[in-house]
Amino acid sequence: MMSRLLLKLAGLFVPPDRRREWMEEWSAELDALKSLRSEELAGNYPGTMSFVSGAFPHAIWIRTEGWTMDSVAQDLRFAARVLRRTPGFTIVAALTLALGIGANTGIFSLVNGLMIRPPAGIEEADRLVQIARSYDGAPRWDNWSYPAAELIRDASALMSDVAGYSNGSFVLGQGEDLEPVAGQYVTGNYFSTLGVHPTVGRLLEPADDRAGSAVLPPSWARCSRWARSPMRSWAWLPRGSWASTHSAPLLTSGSPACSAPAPTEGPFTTSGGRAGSSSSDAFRMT
Amino acid sequence: MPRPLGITSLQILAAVRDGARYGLDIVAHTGLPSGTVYPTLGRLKRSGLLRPHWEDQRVADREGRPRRRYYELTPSGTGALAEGASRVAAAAARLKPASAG
Repeated sequence: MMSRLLLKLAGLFVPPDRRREWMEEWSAELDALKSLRSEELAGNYPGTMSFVSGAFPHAIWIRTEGWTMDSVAQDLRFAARVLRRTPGFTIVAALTLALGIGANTGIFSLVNGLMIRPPAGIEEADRLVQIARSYDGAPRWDNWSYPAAELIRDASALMSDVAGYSNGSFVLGQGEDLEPVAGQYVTGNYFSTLGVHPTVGRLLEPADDRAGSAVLPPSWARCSRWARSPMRSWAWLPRGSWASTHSAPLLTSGSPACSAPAPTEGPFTTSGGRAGSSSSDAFRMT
Repeated sequence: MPRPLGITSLQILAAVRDGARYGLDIVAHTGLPSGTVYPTLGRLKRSGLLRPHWEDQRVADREGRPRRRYYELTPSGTGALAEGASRVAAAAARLKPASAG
């Protein structure tokens, strides 16, 4: 039933003067295939749906068989004459097409820029994967604890490196000039894993990821003011001790300070791993 | 000068020579997908290398099925197949690794 329907659909592509003959040939082929199947003589014969799907390229081939440059040019000239005779219709059609194409291009550019294309400055973004876990009846993505993230980093033989991050809220500014900003706690190797290089100063380094360092693990807060300040204008200059003050002063190139509350033992997303040539079932990678 | 036949066309011509007579038979004989076989059959027919003909309606009626469209090699098709087979054999010989020593 389905195969007959597909055959009829494909037949729409065949020029009317050849459709009957085309349909007759394919019906006979389909009938032969079905009788072979019923006699269990299928052997090398393809599945019905796979076989019938071949009717589409055949139909399209027949449709385009007689096309030549001359006939296409003749059709184009005819179309141009018809459009010239009905300027109102032509203008409305052209505007509709322009609006449709423009809207689609705009939406695609937006989605491409925000969701598909990797951010600038990330090295080998195609080798970057995110490691998470999921299970039935739970949120799709689940985070790791910081110790688990460390374990993954140390045990992973497939990744050239594994870094982690966790979202947080921070206060930006000094004195009374304070404002809340969204940011992230990141591990010391976060930026080196991403292949990000600072324009000024230095970024967090794996050496920062230890007790007694100028900053305490799990490292710095990444204070982001994406809306107003491009990332390249920021440099990360550690100052003071997180351990003693329970805050992490960060200086930017413009010198506003960023104070971060002490990191929690909360959820930690392991990310930024660079996949090797193979993957493992041990982690969920996307 | 016409383009030399490709492997797919030669496979189909060889299948018809070896007794495959209609599309499904050729699909099974060559292992090629139906979406490749039927357009190629059309091209070979247009080039005059294959000749299609409809089965006698009485034969089909006797067997209780729709009549089939059979294909057979034309003399040009036989020649093209022989030429193509020798060309492919020569190419295959060139692809063989040189004997050691």
